[in-house]
Amino acid sequence: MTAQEITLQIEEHFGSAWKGSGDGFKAGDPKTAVTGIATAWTPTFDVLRQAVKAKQNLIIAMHGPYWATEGGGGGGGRGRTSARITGAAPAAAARPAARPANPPPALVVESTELYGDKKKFIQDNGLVIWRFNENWQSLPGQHRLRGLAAALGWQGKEDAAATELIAPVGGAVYSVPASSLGDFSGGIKRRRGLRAMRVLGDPSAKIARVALRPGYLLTPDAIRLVRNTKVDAVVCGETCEWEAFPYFEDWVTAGMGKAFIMLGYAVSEDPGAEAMATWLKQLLPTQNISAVACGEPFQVAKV
Amino acid sequence: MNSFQTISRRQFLRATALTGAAAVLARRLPAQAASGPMTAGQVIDLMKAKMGVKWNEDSYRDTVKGGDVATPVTGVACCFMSTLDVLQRAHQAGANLVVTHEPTWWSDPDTLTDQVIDDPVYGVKRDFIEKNRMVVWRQHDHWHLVRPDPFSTLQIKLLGWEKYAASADSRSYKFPPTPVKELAATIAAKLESRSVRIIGDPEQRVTIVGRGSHTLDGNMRGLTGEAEAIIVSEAREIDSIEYVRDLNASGKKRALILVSHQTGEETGMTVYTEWLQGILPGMKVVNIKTNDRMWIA
Repeated sequence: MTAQEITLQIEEHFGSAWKGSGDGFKAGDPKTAVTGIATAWTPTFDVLRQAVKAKQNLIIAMHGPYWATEGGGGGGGRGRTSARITGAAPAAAARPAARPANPPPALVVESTELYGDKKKFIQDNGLVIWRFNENWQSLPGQHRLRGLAAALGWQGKEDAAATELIAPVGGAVYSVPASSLGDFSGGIKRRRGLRAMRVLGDPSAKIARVALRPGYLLTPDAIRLVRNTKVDAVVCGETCEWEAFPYFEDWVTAGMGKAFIMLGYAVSEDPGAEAMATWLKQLLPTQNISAVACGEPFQVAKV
Repeated sequence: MNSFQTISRRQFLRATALTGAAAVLARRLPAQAASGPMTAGQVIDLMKAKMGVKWNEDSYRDTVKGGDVATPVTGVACCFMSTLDVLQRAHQAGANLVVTHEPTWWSDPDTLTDQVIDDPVYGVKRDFIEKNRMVVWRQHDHWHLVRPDPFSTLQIKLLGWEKYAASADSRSYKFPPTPVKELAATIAAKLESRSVRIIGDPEQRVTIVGRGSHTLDGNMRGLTGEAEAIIVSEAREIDSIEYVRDLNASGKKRALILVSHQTGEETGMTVYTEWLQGILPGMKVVNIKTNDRMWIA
């Protein structure tokens, strides 16, 4: 089967529910005969190498290969962070902020040596990259979220009524064995083998009820996660340190919550790539399909 | 800072009477202003007039975020970010005008959506501001245009890196060969952060170190020259961090030292405090540290 035939089969599974979005081919020739499929959160250079080693030439990922610049916005732009990522109000964002009189011209991704190197690797190895993000997230069953919950050992601990409140923003509520924040976060760190998970809150605070939401968290979703869910802590991937993060600082200072944990964006999404591979295997049982973890990109500053 | 001009409030009123723009400002001052305490609006107008930067009235960032500008000022608190914790400590310090570099209401334009207004955390914070007759004013865009850059002058001094500065704007350094992890540890110790992270090889010995930015554009630019490492205050994983990870995977050894936004910019508002003390000599002006409250598990 060609890459195009495979992705058409995926789209047909959705039927009329398939929605136009940034999903689609981001690199390579869709007419390439597929030898195997690798799923990943984002197609890092290392993910591509591992896929080649496993003889998988179709990469299905939540992002394109060029650092989220596909489809405009999301980086490379002139702003502090794109409106797409920060969720800044369009009306306000349209008003200019003060800028230096002669800003340097924007450096486009395509002009960098790394872009050329990665593009060449994709071409030399006949790889095809297909973005599967908004549609993947729209599937019933919250595979991405439940994949992360299972990786944390929280399956079966879900509070269905509270989860219903935050399912529209991709979250779920879990009752975990009561422990101190220090023990709770230490447990996640050991279980997932993390180095640089960031935590806000008093290490002695008791944690028993947690809202979980993989990925990058915007303020409107942050507010939603703690509204009427009566959670002690929120666990997510990443957030903006001058938007949703101070919301959680204030939530903790006001005594309404106790802790906020950032696993890291990649760390929070790798289990979702496993869930994607599992889902694809049911749809394409004869294909060689497996997930490739991006892994944690961070080290900590210990001497 | 020594480079900022110091004048008394009375001198300011006399001096500003001479210029057109300031005459507009003076007309807005109530008649009794010369004897009574200054209002928040007057202090804000003074800061705008004295910053030495052409004011952009279209800035959606540098505006009043809470309180009534007619409120008499008991003291001014300058901070990186007006978190509830900072507002509480500003109030304890006897200051009711808060000058914050970053947002109050959890979005860059401080948009008060229905969702925010209905939120209990918003209620607590707004009530605290109102009950204590506080005024919050954001100062972001214009302070970033002041030169020498107040966000690097004090920071580089605290880091002890003045002797390594390799460019006039202090955005490039030349060190004796030093492991990246040592530079990161110095930043963590001197700027009091527990959340400093490294992308790349912590053992890599580097000489030329630059500064990146919040954006992929700024970080690609920082790494296109001869810099072996860049120091970055908050950047997104999906663009900047994965770019640097790929750069290393492609065979180009480069490191990125990632500090929290607060760690990167807190000292800029300490400098602001010193500047404001200089132009408001009779007023209580304090610096309230936001602090990096994140820790690594």
